[in-house]
Amino acid sequence: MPAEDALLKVEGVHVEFPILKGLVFPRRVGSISAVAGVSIEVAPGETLSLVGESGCGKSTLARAILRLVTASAGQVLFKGVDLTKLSPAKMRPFRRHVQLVFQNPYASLHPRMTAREIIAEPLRMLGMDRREQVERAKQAMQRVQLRPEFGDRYPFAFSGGQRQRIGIARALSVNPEMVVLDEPVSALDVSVQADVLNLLKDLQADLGIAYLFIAHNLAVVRHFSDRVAVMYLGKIVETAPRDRLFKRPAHPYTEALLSAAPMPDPIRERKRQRIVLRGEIPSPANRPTGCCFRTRCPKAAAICAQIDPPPVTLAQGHVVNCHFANA
Amino acid sequence: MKIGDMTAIPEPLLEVRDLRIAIPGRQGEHLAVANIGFTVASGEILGLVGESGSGKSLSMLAVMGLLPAGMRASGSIRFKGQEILGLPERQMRRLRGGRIAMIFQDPMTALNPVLTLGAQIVETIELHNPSLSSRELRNRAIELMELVAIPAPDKRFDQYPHEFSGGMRQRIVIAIAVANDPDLLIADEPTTALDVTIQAQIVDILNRLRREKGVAIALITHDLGLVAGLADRIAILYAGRIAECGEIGAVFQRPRHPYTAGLLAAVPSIDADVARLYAIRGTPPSLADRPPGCQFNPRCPFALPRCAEYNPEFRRFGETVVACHRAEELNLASDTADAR
Amino acid sequence: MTVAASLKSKSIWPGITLRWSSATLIFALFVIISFIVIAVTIPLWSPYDPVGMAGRRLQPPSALHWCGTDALGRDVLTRALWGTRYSLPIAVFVLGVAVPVGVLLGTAAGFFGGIIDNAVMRLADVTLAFPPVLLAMAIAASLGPGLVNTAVALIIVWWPIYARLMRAQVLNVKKLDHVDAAVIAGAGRFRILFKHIMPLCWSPILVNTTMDVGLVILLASGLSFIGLGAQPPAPEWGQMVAEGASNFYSWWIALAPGMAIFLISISSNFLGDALRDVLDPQVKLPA
Repeated sequence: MPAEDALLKVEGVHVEFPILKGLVFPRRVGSISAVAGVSIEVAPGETLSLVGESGCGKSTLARAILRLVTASAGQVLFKGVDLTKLSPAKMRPFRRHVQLVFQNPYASLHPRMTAREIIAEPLRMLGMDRREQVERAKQAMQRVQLRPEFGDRYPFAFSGGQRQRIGIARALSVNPEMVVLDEPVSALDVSVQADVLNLLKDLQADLGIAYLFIAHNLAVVRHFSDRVAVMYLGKIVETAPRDRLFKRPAHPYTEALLSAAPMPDPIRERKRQRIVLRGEIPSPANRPTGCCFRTRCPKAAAICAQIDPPPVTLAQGHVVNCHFANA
Repeated sequence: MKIGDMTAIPEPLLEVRDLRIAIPGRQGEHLAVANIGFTVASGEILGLVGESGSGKSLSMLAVMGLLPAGMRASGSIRFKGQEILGLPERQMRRLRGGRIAMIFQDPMTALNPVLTLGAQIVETIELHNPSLSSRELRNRAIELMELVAIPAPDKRFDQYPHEFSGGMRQRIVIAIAVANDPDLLIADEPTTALDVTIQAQIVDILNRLRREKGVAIALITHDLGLVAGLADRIAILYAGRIAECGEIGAVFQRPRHPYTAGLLAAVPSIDADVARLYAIRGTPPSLADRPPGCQFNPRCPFALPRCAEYNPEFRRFGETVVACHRAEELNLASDTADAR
Repeated sequence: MTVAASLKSKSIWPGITLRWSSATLIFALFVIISFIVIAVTIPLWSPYDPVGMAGRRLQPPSALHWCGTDALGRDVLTRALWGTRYSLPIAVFVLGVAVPVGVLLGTAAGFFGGIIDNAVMRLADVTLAFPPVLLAMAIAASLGPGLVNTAVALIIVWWPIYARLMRAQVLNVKKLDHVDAAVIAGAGRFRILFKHIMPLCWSPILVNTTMDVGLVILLASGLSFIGLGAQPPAPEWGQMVAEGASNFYSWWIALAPGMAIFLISISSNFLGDALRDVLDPQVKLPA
């Protein structure tokens, strides 16, 4: 569990998108809180996974950390510096420390730039001279097991897995201390997924990078992370070390997620007792009072509609926001 | 021997044999599906598993007679004993939506945004039962909405698609598909666009349809977990051919084809630790540049010279049929672990 | 426009489309290059004087006057050939100003948004709210007749089309992941605009510009036809068609300039279509 040595410390971050009405003179009639007060910490060299279903705000949180969207409240401390307070000009030199790998290996590469130019772009922004750029790009390509001869090719000449490697090489070219992985394998075929996951793990072991891994596939999360934070409707509902979370989930939502995750084993898959949640995820424009999960929770009681459950520490590093958490 | 002969059941509902689908390209045609055969029995769920480009979706579009213009299919597709490949569009249309129905991956685009959900269900029923009164039609539609577990169906009847979430829309899509009690439901990645907790609900509904209505389902997916939970039999497709086909338990427990074993070893598990995932090296062949012999041989850790020379015949092992030259000698469960 | 639209094949499997468009492409290039060559070299080989009498009045087509003579006895073919020297420069001039202005304003609107966006787009909306021919007529009439004023009128009518097109392109490309990737790489906003957004915006602009060559010539001729553009005795096509209209039974007077307008319009359309086929990735075949 990271304490003062946290590399990234996110505190009470909110992200709100205005709901506008009117075509000519739009006015604000409400807001969607995509992220509603999230605090997480990432230690150097560790992998924190952020798990949740679509619309839970996990990608928005990542974009707020990277300042691709503006946090409306809260702090994003990277090595003690609050990134949300930096001017765009002061932010730019910080970008090299926190990089991003995108979900979509097609849209995330400039179609008219060669692989080498794409990988060298962050280096160029650091003001490196041309020869050094080429050299570093070559090293980055070798590191992700791409043949440097392919550097002159354009993205369309690569397969999905290879494109994702280019994206990883681009993120690594500036030797970041942290990389945000936004569903890096969910757009890839199964056999290619394994390859990219193995590569990411090897790179972490070699370079000591911290990962913030955003995912919805729990099996992949289990394989990949040190700690896991479960997100629901813009809030973190449970954080725990990986083994503990998968063995003793405390939040009813985590339990339901685990029980719903399909297993590639016909015998056990059919014997399993599933917790099938009723209903749908509420709209973030119209959040339930009290606990955000109560509308679907099998354990919900009167108190859940009134009081938003405070975080409870169950064990070292295991924090859950639930009135009726499994001890 | 043909795969159809080996898995033949007395009277299969759907029998696909020697199916080939050619796609026109700049330098002539390419085979996207190069000889696929399988059967689906009444009330059975067959999982068709493969990666993108394996030909799983195209084969099913061929069954529906919905191949994109320019593609040519040859071989044989028999539905209840009747040859339906090349059937005139008029007759095909009567089958489609009647005896054979299909649900697609994306529930967002499968519905008409300007019609109420009720109207869309009613339209399908009416197309095949023109004599029903509007009251009867409405009642049938509400019954269907109950069948797919939509809460308060009589209120929901007059709502529009945008008022529904993805999971709810997929239920409506399923309700429309089963509106005329089809014998066969083709489900193309029915849960891929949905969240895990919603996926579980859809799986329940599909299981219930089979149990209560006896619908046979051809489930196209890349998700091994989904097949494991639903299917009775599974066919693994690779590069437009069947690699392995058989009873679900047998295939998962004792995969006979190196590709199947590779796929199974490549997915992490939710309740077991592996230090390193097994990764199948390389990428699937492009249609224009197929390898000679077994399509998997350039990526196969067990390939022998003969694998690149000629295509393996299908061989039967108990409940499964496999196209691999080395199916007898390999014990893939342990060999794959060694190759890791 | 309608001719080209009905000829255009929207097939997903463009084996046929490509062959069809390569035939039309050759035709279009042939016409356009010939017109340019004529415009440049006509003084060297002009069969007659374009503004002087060449024979008897109102002669039908003959071996001496292939397209006949007009009411003043001038050779119609000669005048039609000289007409390229009016129409082509006006198209180049109008688009040469309207496209950059539109692109510049559209880019600013799409990229910076806010007040700039509102100001530019409302101005464009106001301009587009009038029927283009009427607006061009009103402007040309208020500036006074003449070719330069016609061009100015057409520029005012034309820039909003490009501003809108470019703005939509910029907004679309701006949303793509690779632009976020550039932000994270530490690129400044102008590098993002010029390197990561604009290079992906050009193809529809290029296609539209090519197609508009014909439209500009058509509209300029139209203004001349009603007496607002080129003034007699200039051998401008629209002007010539007008002369033909006043000598209605001498059908040949309007024929050559009319054909010239038709050929250049349809060729620019064909060329634009062919360009779209080449530039639009959706119509591209898998390798």
